[in-house]
Amino acid sequence: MSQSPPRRLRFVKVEFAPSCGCLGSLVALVTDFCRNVIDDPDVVFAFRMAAFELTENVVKYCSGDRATLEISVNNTVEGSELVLVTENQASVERLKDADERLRAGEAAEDPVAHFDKLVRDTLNSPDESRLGLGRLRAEADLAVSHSINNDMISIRVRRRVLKTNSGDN
Amino acid sequence: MAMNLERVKKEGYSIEAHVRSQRLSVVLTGTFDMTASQDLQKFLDEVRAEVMATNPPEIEIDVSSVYYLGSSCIKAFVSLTAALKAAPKHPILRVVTSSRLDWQERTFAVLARLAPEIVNVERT
Repeated sequence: MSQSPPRRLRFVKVEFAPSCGCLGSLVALVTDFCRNVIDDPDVVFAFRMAAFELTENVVKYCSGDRATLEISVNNTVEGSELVLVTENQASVERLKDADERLRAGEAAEDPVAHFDKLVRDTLNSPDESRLGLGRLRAEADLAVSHSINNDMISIRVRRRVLKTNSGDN
Repeated sequence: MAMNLERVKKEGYSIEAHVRSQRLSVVLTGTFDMTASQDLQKFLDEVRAEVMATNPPEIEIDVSSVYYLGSSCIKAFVSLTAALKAAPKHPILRVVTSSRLDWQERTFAVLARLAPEIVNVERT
């Protein structure tokens, strides 16, 4: 009796020097990967939005000269999951601020109500919008989590998907 | 109605305004990521000044040909909406979205939640 081969983990990981000039290329890479693994324009757009927001954050707040972005599809016992992760260095002050904001967003029971609060707060923030991470849950139905290790911050967004393509064509 | 709004045309996006039947109409096209936010903020600041000077009953913003709007650009719309809400004559803000691009309605719905009495988000 033949067994079907185990499905391979599919991912792309890129190391890049943060700058506005790399935004379009990174977003295109993430979008192409998602289009290749799933036929759902809503999910593809959600990850396109996440790619923009996460890489813009890296460009704005990274304190080092390198950062990474990884997009992957993981098969679990419950099904498949698309995951986008960025990792970068940041200053102590920026890490503290990001940690507070991300914890508040992750703990919010109602993502839309939380985003509406961020929108009202942005009127008192002259320079920064502080809306990017909040909209990923509220508008794109993405789960957002993070971890901080020394001066590195890793932000992960994911969404369960019903059916993925083989990705081999 | 006086018009001091100069068209912005850059690689990847454009912004322009017209006056039709006493209605100020703004049309955005392209991708509005962080690289477009300064131009958009400046343009919408000028729209706000124009509105305060001329008191049009309605402002229409057509975003149906926008392919992405980043958070820094959402902030520019939030600032405009708050200013219109506080304006003495409360002009109506109509946001025209595309029915082909579902995300537009979700993104701009936040303006309607911020100022439901003046913001209408419509699909074409």
